[in-house]
Amino acid sequence: MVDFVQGPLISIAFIVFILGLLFQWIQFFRLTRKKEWGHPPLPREIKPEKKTAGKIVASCLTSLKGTLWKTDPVLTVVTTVFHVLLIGAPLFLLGHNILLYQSWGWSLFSLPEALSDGLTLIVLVCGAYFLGRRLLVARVRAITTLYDYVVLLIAVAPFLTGFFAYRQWFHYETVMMLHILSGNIMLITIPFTKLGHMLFFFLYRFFLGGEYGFLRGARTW
Amino acid sequence: MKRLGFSVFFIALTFILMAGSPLMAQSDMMLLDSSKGRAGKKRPPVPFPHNLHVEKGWSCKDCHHLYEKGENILDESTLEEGNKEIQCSACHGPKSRLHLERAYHGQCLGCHKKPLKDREKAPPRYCGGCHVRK
Amino acid sequence: MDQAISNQDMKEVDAKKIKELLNRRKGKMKRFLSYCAHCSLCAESCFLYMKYKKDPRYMPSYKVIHSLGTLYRKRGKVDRKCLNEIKGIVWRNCVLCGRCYCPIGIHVPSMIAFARAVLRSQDIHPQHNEASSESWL
Repeated sequence: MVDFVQGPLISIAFIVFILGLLFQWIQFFRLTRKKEWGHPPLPREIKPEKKTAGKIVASCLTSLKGTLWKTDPVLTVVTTVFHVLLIGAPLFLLGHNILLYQSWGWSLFSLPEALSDGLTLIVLVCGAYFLGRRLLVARVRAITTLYDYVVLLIAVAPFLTGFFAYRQWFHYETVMMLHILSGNIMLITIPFTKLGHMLFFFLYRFFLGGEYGFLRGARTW
Repeated sequence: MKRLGFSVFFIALTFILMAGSPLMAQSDMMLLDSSKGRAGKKRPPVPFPHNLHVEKGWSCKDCHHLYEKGENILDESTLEEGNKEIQCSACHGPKSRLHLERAYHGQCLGCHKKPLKDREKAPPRYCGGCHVRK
Repeated sequence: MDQAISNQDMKEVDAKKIKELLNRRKGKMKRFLSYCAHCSLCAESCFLYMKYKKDPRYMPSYKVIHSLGTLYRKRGKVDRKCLNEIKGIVWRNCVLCGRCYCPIGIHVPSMIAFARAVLRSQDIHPQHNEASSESWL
């Protein structure tokens, strides 16, 4: 069992992850190919004025006011930090890079271990914030089911077990097995659960906005 | 008189045997200090059970090496405790092609990461298995 | 509200027809439903939610999950009572103004509109006194 989890299962998880996302990507484009026109295509945008760096920054800051930052700034910060670290912290972890070098002869840049530990702790705090929100905020509780708790656990488990493993709390070998297993489970479930918003966040929003932009008024919904 | 002679002989033999054979001429648990590795990424020193590895049946040159043109030309008579030249850090220094951390990891994990099937107990495979915290 | 039982209410639900309709848009709709993160950030974008003192039952995600979500979950095998509840959600609690905003980009109005189409296929239409200004919630 141990041989399977730290050997073929990792390859299987990555293959399922990549193929799953690829499948969902292709399906997305297939399903949104048909366009509905309520009116003739809007004319193409007139060439926009050249913006200086200052103007770009100013326009970004102003448009930020019209976003979630205004309604819920705490959640905006927490969710941004959580999602950046969800991908950033494991990628630049020394332990992962050593294993990567062992397997494939190359690795990414590694952060100092104390910093990685701190970042993991931040991810866990953000996860706890999400859990608290699910339990305490009425409107979130209204649409929460067991599925949401399980998915949150799947997302946070690799970081929790990694945190324990770094400190060598509990039985190290068991914690490491759970760490690898939870990481693999997370990879496998990403394309097929709501964790797929990892990819679709960008695709769906792009298409929604496209109704005003490159789709020139067509709807694909 | 004969009985005394025999007792003395047996006691002496016991002491000689307990002193260990030539194969176990060095201390068993060695502490591999990681401070000569890359700064800023330190883990606790590794307690390395040398005898355990010897008992597994490998020869000295399976680990200890001095490569020249692809061949291990190490002279086994130099493998004595206290000889600073046979220490890994003697060659794998900061200016060598393969620095100390990668040399150790490559050497140890090269075997440790192999599938378990023919082993009773799993050797340490991940960081904390060797760099044990107190 | 006392309503005389109309012919409409006596007809049997044609589960096969519902299923056939649901299958037509299964790919898109099921993906929308599954990628909903249940974050409830769509709530404040709905006028009705804000008007009815932030009642969670007016949240776009709540409306969609309990209307189209129910239809897909039960694979079209619903009874009249269930369809009437869905009728309330999609016609009384939503005006299809299209203001709802989803951070993930799920297009809620199309899902509500689709649920309405499914109900219409079962001869369920909103009565004129069932405008959303007189919600029964």
